[in-house]
Amino acid sequence: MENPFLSRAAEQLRDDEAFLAVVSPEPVTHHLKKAGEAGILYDRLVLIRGTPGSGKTTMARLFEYPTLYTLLRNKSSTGYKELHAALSECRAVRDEEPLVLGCRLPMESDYRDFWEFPYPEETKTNLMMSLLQARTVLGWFRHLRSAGVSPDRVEMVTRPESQALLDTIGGTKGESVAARAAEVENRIYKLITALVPPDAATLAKDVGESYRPFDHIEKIRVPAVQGAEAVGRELVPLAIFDDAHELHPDQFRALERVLVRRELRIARWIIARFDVLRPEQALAEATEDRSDVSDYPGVTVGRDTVLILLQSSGRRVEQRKRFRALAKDMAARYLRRMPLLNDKGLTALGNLLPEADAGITPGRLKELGGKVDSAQGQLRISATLRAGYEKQIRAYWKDKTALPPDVERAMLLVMMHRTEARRPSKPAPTLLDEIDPVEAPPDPEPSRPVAANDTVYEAALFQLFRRYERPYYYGIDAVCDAGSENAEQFLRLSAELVEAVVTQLARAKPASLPPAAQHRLLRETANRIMEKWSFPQHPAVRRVVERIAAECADKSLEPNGAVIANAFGIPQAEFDALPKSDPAAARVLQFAVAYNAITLVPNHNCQNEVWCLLELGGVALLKYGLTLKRGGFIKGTAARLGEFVAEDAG
Amino acid sequence: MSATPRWERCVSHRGADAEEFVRGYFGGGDRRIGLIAGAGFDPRSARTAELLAGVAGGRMRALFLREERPEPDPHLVASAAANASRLTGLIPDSVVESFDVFDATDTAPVGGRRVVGVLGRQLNTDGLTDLVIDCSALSVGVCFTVTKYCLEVASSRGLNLHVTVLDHPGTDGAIEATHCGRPSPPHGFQGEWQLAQCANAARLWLPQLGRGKRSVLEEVHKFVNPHEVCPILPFPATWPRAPDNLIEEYGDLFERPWQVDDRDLIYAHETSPLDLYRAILRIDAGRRRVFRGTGGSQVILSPVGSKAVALGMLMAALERGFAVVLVESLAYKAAPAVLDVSPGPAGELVHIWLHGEAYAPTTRGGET
Repeated sequence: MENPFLSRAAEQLRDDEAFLAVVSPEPVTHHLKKAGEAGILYDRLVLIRGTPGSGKTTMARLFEYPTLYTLLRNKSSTGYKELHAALSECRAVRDEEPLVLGCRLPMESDYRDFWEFPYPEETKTNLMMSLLQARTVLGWFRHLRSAGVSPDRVEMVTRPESQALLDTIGGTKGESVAARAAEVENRIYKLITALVPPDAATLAKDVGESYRPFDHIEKIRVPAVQGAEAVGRELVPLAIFDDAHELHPDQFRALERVLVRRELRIARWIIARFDVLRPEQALAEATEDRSDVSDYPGVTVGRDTVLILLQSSGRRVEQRKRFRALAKDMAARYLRRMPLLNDKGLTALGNLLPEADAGITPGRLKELGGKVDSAQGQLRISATLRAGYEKQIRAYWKDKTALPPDVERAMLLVMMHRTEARRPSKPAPTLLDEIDPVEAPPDPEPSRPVAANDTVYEAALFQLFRRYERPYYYGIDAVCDAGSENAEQFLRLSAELVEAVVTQLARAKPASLPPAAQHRLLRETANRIMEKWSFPQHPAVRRVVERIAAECADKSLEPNGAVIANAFGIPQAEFDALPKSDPAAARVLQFAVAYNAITLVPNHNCQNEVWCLLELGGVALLKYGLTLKRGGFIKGTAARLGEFVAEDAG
Repeated sequence: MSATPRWERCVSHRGADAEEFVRGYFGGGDRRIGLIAGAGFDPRSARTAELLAGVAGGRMRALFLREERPEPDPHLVASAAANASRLTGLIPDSVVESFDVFDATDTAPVGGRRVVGVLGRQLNTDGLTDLVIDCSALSVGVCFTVTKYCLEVASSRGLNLHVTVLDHPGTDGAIEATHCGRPSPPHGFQGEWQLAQCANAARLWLPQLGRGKRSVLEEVHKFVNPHEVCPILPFPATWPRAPDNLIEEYGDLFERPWQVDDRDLIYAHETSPLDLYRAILRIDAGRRRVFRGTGGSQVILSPVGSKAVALGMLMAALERGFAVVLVESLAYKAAPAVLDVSPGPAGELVHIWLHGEAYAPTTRGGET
């Protein structure tokens, strides 16, 4: 049976109905609603940035005309109502009508080639812009045609001051505008595909006069029917330049410069990863504190641009909560497309991933018990203190379920080690001291009382996982958290779990997966994902991730479990200076952030110091067996990070 | 479009026949030969040069191309340097030219355009009768662009054009490549499928399956987003189990997302580039008829397996202007044993005469 989780990228679905069936409205509402309501999505340059799989292209496709058209045609369908509401809030549709004529141009094809031409930068930019504009115009007409509107029924509404230049874009009649755009595309495409580019001197003859429809077009008038009357309806033309990180960084900036001009009347969005930015710019964008702009989560509004980040920004607890809700909604939409599960009402992924019955084997439990007893002796913990700790653990656990014996013993072990760690140090006995074990004074009490609390519990679970093979990664929230707030990553991790559920059903077994199976499948999948890393700088990123993971594991495995770490902290000031002090490390870090290997947590206050945390991504955490809980970090320096980058670099 | 394929009757040889042809044909005193070959780490770098130098030492010159990639493995660099010195020793009238396969700033694959620049500056065909491109140690993307460039040169200047490759699937498989993650066409093979006028065309993607190339083909599939996929399997193959192993490796992709069934598989003779060339042209001719009224047909090729079979794709793409999409290799790794040239390079020489006297009378360019 087809597993839609395996297709991951929703935008790969060719059919608009199928695409709309799996798209969750939540990201649109979250990222675009406020900006849409404020009317700033269509009047200035919108820059959307995110990691691969963060939903950039899915969002762009939602605003393409055929998608809006399909949505409106089926708007009474149950699954589409929420999307219709979200797009209405963004002013992309109103009632039964689309308001924007969106066309998405993937930049991953031939545009980068312009930068290899032996021409001045201005010439190369003009050539690229002419091709982009021609293809956008052709895209608008193609989309209208797919909705049954032929070019002869379309008219361009142009700026009054453009009258004298309208011939350059083919006038205002749809047919002639489309024909001119096709001619420009053909001429420039011939130039791109020529093995040897023509001399700059003959270039004008080859490509013809300048072509700038974006400078002249304001709206696009298409026929509409209101009652019995045929009227014209004006659509806002929207050009979406997707995957703009494929351009050369200088070319990207040139594109931004052209599109940021205020005199342009069309709506224009540039969607990109962080790759294309300079390291200092990328790292600054990834760490900029947007938590105060509560009305515009992840949005920075300037006079000429709107920046929308599909990354974590602002309050992290809320981000994680929001992503969990989004991921669960998305999973439900995908599960509904699987008849085997949908017919049985199994459309909540959480129900298929139970959290009960995680534990260790009886042999391991016995071994753990022995370790607790011997630790009590070695650490000189009195029987009374131990009994007190056991009572505290039971009180911490309350009566929610029966206290698992492995958890109880592991927590007790952690508390014993914390007791030892908190005892005031006493001078070491010298050889001349006579020690009488009977007369020896009792060991002092810890400087701070040791309590059974969440940190002890987390440390106990981690140690049970690492030392006694207790499942650690299970339950829907763990899958969501391992997704690192990236929709595609979440789907990749879920795909294997869903595949296993389907197999269980096919073998007439219960659908739900025990924690041990979830844990194993998630780690195996993470391993495979990391093996396939092939993005720029991936060997160095892999090296850095591996070193950070090793140091985090060492720290987390300390018996008192003081810190269960998954991040590497650098003093914020050192981090801010990184692009200048160590450009190579900054560049590696840029790609690590751009590809979800690392998340930056800036301005993290700890013990009166401000840190920037390099938190490992969910996939790396699964692979290296580290906690998905946030906050624990090991203290490092920029120099140490530089060493990680430089190691074995050859 | 002519009904008869250009290379329907093609002069090509393999193994001992190819070596005999090289000795006999290039041994003729009237031949003036220009060799273009890779001077990389590939142990097959020198075989064609050795053969040619043995029979036409004083009558040839060479342009050796060295593909530079970021952060190369030092062992491979050392091996490439040794091969380059060996090659220049074999053919004293030669030059070694390096070029970047990836842009230093954004690691975009730019090898095709850069190598055309090198050819424009360094390829001197004055006085030559024959151009020989040895693809053995050139990456597929580069050798496609070089061949297209040389075909234009040969056509305009009346030269004979030959392509050779030392075919050894074992060596191809033993060289481990890390791809750059960016699908792109080799320069000159963009095709027309991205033009707005082809937006409604039915896209057929023909990926040549190769071991360990799964992630490359997944990337290309996402980029091309074809309507249909017809994977190419080597059959008959040197290793009889090869097609089964490939089906096992790619089986889940066949099911989803490629949606391939057994009628879609193309079997191409592993040792004969012409077999695949003819199969592709037959498929294209059939599709053109079927899709004429519904937006046309576009065929997109991805040669990622054995180089000899890739030559069949190259010929088809040259003839019909098909798009080719690849993911360029960012880095290579190979075990020292693979790089060892002391036992002599393994594999069989494949020779294809692409253009010149064998097909139509030409005026020899450059002769005085």
